Amino acid sequence: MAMITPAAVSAVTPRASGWTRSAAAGLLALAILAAVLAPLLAPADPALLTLDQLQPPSAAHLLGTDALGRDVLSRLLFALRTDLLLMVFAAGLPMLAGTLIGAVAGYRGGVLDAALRWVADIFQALPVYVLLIAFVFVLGPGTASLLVAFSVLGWVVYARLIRTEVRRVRERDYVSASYLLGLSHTAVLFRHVLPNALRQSLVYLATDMGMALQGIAVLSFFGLGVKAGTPELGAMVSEAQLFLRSHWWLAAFPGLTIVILGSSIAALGDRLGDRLGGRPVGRLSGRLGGRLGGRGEARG
Amino acid sequence: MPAARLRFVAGRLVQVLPVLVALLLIVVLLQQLMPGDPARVIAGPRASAEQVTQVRHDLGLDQSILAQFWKYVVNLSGGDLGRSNRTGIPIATIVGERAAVTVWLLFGGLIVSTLLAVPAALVMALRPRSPAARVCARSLTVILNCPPFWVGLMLASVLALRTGWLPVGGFGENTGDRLRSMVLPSLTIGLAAMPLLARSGAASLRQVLAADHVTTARSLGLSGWPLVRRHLLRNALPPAVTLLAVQAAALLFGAVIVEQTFGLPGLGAEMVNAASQRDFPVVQALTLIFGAAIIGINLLADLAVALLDPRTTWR
Repeated sequence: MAMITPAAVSAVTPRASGWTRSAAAGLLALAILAAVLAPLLAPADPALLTLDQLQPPSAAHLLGTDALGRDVLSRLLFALRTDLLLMVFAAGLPMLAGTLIGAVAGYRGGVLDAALRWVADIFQALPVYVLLIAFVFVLGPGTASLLVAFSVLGWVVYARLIRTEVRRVRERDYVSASYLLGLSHTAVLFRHVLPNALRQSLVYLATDMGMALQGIAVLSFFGLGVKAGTPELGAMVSEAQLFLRSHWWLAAFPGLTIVILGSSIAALGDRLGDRLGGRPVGRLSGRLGGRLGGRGEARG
Repeated sequence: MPAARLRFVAGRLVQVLPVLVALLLIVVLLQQLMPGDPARVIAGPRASAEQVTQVRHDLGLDQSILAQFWKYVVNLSGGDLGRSNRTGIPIATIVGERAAVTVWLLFGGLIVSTLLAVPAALVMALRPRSPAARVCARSLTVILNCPPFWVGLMLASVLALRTGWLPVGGFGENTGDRLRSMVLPSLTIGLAAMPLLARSGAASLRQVLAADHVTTARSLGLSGWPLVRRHLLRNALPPAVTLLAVQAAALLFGAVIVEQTFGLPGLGAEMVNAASQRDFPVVQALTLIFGAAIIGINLLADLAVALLDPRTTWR
């Protein structure tokens, strides 16, 4: 699931290079490590309520404590866990669904393919952001409804990308050769066609993850995302809102973490795009590309 | 060829129809996805079984989905968007009261993002290898990944709480106060939408730069501002209209976030509040309005570009 995906236009824009990429990779690795090791690293139980409320940063609480006396550093570490995990699923599930649908439709062709294109055209003209709020609202807060909403709205781009690629790859000689060797349709599709068609989706996945991260944070900030009390970066900013005047750092650090995570993923996504040499993919590039005379997938 | 143009416009309108129908269908079907019985929710936890049945009948929830869909469309064509579950106020009235704030906010955001994005796009297009362009590109990546609600809070923290220059939130009573209370939200939305505009702006400027007439102008010794003004900006106009439309969706979502963050009484804040108080009809109506607005803006942009660009062929 993604919101806007502008990175795609940047085929000719100066891209992150050299130290920016190393820094991005380092920061992301650090974040993943911190999330995995959160139970070991956290100085306190993230849910433990104490009477030391709203303490400024100190040796005992490196980032201070929140309004309920919980250790902010511990909450931040566990929030990193929540957000990274949700992000992977919120971008991964739509990719899985879209890839399967797109692959089958593109490989079989005919009515199935036409139907997919028709549905995709309509889907891509729909306002994704607004529907995201509506879906999550209807399904009720919680991680499950977040993931369902992201999947329902996000699969289309992947289905489209894969469909186009599968149709292109299908005509290659090595695929015909596989038939001659007696492989079944399923075997040819999964062993030969799909792996070669996946590159574009992977590039898009990187952008999508950054957008999923923001989407999760925004919905949680509104109280529509994770359940109340779950350590989550957007929810932490929301809880800190009331104490902005006296305790600005409570809101500053979780937000900064989102910025760093998102920017690192975006920088690495650019790198992936360069390495795979794919033409720019994504919702926006397509839409602009289409209108401005380029090629690509359309997305609204 | 006015006949051909008319056919083009009609063709685009016909293309939009299924999208609008799909949006309507989704909006009506949303209710089916809701866990629990909507009639029970509206009637309240202490209502008797008969009362619940009565509510279900009054709302037409005992009819088929198709009938409900038809009823919604008929009501809609009469300007009736239903009533709020919480207050019983007609949603059309709520929209009428709150739409102005959102429109002004979008306008402010548009100005800010354009003011920020055009210089960045020019730098990235004209001097792509310069350090300035690199700084721009990297900053855009970072800004793009800043959650707008957080940017809003941080701006409020610095520009409002610490200095008292601007109000932290809310919407003043008189015009002066209202304008002042729009500054921070506009800044936040503008920042959120700006990376998108700058990147795609740079891309389209680059296309214009590569055009033959620009090469000719350059070979005749034209450069700098005269070149930009006379040959670049003017030709970048049709793509710019498209960019504005692309931005519309981003700006609108930004408005939803920012209104909530700054406590502005606009449509976006209403949607989020209604969502957290499980007021289904309001969420339904606003989803439809926002969706239709975005679809409409994109349609208008498509038409405008086709009419503006002399190279359009009318098929």
